[in-house]
Amino acid sequence: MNHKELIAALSEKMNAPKSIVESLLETTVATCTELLVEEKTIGFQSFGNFEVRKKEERLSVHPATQVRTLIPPKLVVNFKQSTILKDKLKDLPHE
Amino acid sequence: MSKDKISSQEIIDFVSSKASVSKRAVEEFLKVLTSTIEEALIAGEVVKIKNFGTFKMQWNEPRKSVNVQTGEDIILPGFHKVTFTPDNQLRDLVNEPFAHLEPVELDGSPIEKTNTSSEPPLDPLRSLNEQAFEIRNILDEIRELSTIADGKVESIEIVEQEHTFELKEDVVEPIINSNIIESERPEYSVEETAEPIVVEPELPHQDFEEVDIQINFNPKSEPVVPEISISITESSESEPPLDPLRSLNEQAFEIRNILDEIRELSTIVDGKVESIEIVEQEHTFELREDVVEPIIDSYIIESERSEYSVEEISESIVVEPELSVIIEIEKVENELPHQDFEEVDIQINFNPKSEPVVPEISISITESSESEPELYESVSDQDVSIEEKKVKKRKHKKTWLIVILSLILLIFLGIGAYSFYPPARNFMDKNYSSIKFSVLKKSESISMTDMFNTVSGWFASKNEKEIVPQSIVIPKDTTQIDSIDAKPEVDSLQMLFDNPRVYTAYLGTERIHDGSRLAIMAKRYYGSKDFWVYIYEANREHIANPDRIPVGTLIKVPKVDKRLIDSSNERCIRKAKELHDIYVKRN
Repeated sequence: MNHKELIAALSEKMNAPKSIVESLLETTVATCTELLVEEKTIGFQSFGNFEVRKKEERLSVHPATQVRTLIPPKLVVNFKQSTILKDKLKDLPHE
Repeated sequence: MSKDKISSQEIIDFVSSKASVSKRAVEEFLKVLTSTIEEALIAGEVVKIKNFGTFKMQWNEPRKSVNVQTGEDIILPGFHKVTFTPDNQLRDLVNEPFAHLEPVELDGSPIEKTNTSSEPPLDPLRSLNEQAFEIRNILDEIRELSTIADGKVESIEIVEQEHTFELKEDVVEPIINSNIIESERPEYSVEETAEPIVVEPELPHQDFEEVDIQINFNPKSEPVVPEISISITESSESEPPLDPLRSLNEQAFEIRNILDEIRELSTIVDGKVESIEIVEQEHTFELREDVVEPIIDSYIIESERSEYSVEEISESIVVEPELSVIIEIEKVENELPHQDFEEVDIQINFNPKSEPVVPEISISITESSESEPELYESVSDQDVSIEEKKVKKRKHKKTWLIVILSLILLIFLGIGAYSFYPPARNFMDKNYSSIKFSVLKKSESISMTDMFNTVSGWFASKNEKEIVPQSIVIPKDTTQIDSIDAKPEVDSLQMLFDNPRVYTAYLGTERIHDGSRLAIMAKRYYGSKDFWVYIYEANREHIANPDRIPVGTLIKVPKVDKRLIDSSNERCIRKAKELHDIYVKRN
């Protein structure tokens, strides 16, 4: 499901025009991005948490050439599903 | 790092205020959004939100584990997990504080490089000690040699002199070496090299002298064939009024010692060659008002038996200490096109054919006085180090063949130090060109003012003990005197590099907050993160360590000359990187 399909699905469910849904989704994404840049954790009820985690710098050794490389630290966005979502997914059959 | 958690309610508040939609609508929207995503995921789909990221479902396999309390093996059931991969845009925005960092390959070589580059200026005293130690070893060996050969050659006594090293501010190491060469036959050659060299980079006037004295005794009927060659290589360079006298005294001392040795030798060979008398005349050194005139006047070597010739060599070294910068410049102009190289070879041969004793005395004096230190500027430190290695190798082999390279090394070192002042080179070049192309009156007048700038900047930087290091100048600059057209730009840039930067105007101030970097500021203000060094320079009094600036520090972003921060110019980048190395390594 890509962005367009998502908007279509949402507008159908909400009985709202796509343009409104699209702008709302845009605003939400922008707000979330802003908050994440400030390294805040965002929690969505019954869905999960978005948080920023810092990956510390590390030494990586190329297995073939043995060249050691210092990988700098970085910040990444991490999503952790809520237990409610996890429970919902539990019943899902595994193929 | 604030880890405040934003709840759903807060998100709803934010979005509703931003989109000016009622909170209830936003709440509903978010609920529908999450449920839609869930449904899509449960249906096995991948949900992608533009500019945000992708949600995916992932199956985690069941795995074995151990119950911590009972120690029993248990199997954790497999479960589905929603994974989120942030979009490129979100990823970059979040990672902005560390965006400037790049992976660094560690080979160990960059560390070595910094060591070698930082060492030479640090410990001249230690190298002096090493040299003194070497000299002592060599003298010990000479003594041993004399006792071994005692039975045949009565005795060769070598007086060990005291070499005193004084480390002054601008004195580049004096190296005193004694080298002995011996072959299996009783042939002895003693080489003494004494060079009190005081290099003063400010003075463009230098004198080099070399005096080689070789005395060969070859009594052919005798089993003893002592062959002694003494070579004195002196190189005196002009310097401030105080030092020349000292160095001249040292030279005189050396000469006296050598003459003593010759005298001793004459007594040894006395039985065969009746006597060789060496008259040493007085060496007078006069220090006049501005002119130091050492007159080393004449060695007379007499032999009673055969004909002899007396050669008088008089050398006068004129040292003119700088009176003022202006005079200095005039002098340079006068002296530049003028070079003297002299070579005097004197050979005195005693050949009384009826005698079995055939003494052969050859004196060769090579004198070359130079008024232009530029000639040696192309010599790099690498050459010097290579020579140093060579010397060490030979000593290891213990072939007794130790060559006087250290003297040349010293001269090169001195001039190498000189060449590390690129303004000096510009200074010389400008003079040279202004003489050569006197038609260009304009450029001459400009070059004069430039010269004053460089000279003053140069002295200023010296007083600061070279906080701002001078970059190594490409030898091209000196050789291409003729290409004037290309020069001004290059020179002005070089001068910009060399002059200590003064920051008066500022583009703005920034307060350091968590995660802010000088490099990011430089990227924002100057267009390249390499130029952070200039921000650091302008704020050096507030910053102890450029890698760890305390939060809340006010950073003034200086206005830097546009030519300095031209990110398209490779030299600017290189210069900034050099500065970077210096500042980072110091801390």
